[in-house]
Amino acid sequence: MTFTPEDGLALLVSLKVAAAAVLVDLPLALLAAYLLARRRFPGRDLLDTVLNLPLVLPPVASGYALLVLLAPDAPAGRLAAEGLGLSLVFSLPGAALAAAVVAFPLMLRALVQGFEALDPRLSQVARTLGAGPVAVALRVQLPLALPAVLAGSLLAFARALGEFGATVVVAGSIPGVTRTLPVDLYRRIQLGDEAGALRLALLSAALAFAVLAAGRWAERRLRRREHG
Amino acid sequence: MIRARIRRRKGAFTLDLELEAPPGVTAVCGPSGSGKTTLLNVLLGLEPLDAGEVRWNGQVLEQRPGGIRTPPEGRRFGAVFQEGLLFPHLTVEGNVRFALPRRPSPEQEGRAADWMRRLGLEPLRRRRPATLSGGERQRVAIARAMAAAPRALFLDEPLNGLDARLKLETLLALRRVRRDLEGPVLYVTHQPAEVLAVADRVIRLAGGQVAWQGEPARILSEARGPGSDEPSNFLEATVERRLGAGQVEMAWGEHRLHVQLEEAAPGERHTLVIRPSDVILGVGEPGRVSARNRLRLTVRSMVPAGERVWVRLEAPDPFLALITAEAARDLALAPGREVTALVKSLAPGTAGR
Repeated sequence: MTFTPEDGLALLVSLKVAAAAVLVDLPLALLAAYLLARRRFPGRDLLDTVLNLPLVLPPVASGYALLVLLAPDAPAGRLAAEGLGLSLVFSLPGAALAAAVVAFPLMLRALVQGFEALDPRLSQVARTLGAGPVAVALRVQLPLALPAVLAGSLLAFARALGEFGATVVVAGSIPGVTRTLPVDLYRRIQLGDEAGALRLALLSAALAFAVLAAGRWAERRLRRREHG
Repeated sequence: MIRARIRRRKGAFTLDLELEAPPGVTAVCGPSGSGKTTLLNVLLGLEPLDAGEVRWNGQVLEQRPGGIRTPPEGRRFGAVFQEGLLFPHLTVEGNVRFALPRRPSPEQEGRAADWMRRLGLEPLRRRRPATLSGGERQRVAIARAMAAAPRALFLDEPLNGLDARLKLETLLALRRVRRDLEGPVLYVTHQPAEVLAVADRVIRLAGGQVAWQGEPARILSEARGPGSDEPSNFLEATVERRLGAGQVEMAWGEHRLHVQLEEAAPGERHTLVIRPSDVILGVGEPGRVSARNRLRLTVRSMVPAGERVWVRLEAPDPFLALITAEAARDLALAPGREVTALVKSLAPGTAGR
């Protein structure tokens, strides 16, 4: 079995889309997880539910919602086009955004758990040592939550690699731009290219395996750092 | 000096007291649930007041009603908690240096390094907290708190969970801190032995209120209860001259002590640790005895503790002997009476300097 340049292109698009999705999700998920785990405020449960919605919503529905919101004639789409010069539909940023939305709850959950597991007394000690709330967040809470940040990022990355429904609705299937592994795989099945479909399926499996193995290795290193 | 009027409700419990902590060590003791830890948290600014105020040298740190509230990082009160609470992601040195500002001055750098050295942490500087013993962790926590140059120091049962040897080692470290801190120290404990070792005065809490306050010796009657450690005498003595055979003569006030100490140079200060039950009391000249150390001392007061009696002696440092009630009657011991205290062998406590 030999892989074709087209297979490689799909792999490359997938990696780009997933990496971009993680980068989009990370700051937002950190902020949201910090609020959900550490603060009590009105509307907290509602926020929690809304942010977790993509986990249970069919991805195609999430994608359709994005398409409606981000279309060039919708307010958000116009803003992105005029302000950033970005087209958010049928483009790489659009595919990344679709993957980011679907992967967001997974990252959020890992981070909330990570923040909730922190010993609040360590933050209190830091305060008595002269650290303000921001310094405590950056020098104590974030480093201690690092394994959770890593786990959440990998989970989101893996989910974004496998994302199909929302991506195909928002970004379509443009070769080299938005045609990710799963989108290309579906296309080849439709075309009856069984050998190609098999290659892409194997490629997906290898990629998933590598991501999980890398995650396990990195987490072990982090834990060893903390527990001597 | 800390002055506080505190009212703080927590469910059915209410902490309601007035407190004054002048320079020196104030021990806060009382049964669990009496409000000791809540008191520390309120003074540190980690828990809000419901009513009252906290002042530092007359300056208001917190007031309710009134709405003033200085956050913990603005109070410059240091704290050492149970189990040390070290940052697990930082090394020993990283923990101590956490107390320094982002760009420390040479003086601040020096202070952190100095505390690391004085508490014997230099060999451990690259280690992670998970690899340290309980006593080592507490020493790191103390060095970390002191590196921030606190105006006052709060200790919440810092010896909990340590074995007897580590307790002694950590107590000696705390006594060294006490010598250098000009501000008040609040020391929460339920161990009379610790009160006697470090405190200048005691506040006893019960049910969220002050039951009594006074000198540490008032705790003596509780010092032999079940589960309480035996107190030790801590003698701060200076090496005078070497006697050979690993013995040195040390000055303790006007007294001279023979101490087992290898490689000691004249002028060195050491803390000698003697258990009160290892002190023998006699009246008159005891004749020829094998004990090398005979100290002529005056009985200050006596505190009965069941079958035994604590005898407090006038001495350069607080000095206790624990003898049976029968012996005390035979010797007709009473305050003002002169006695000879015999101490068989003296050796410095560990981690001394």
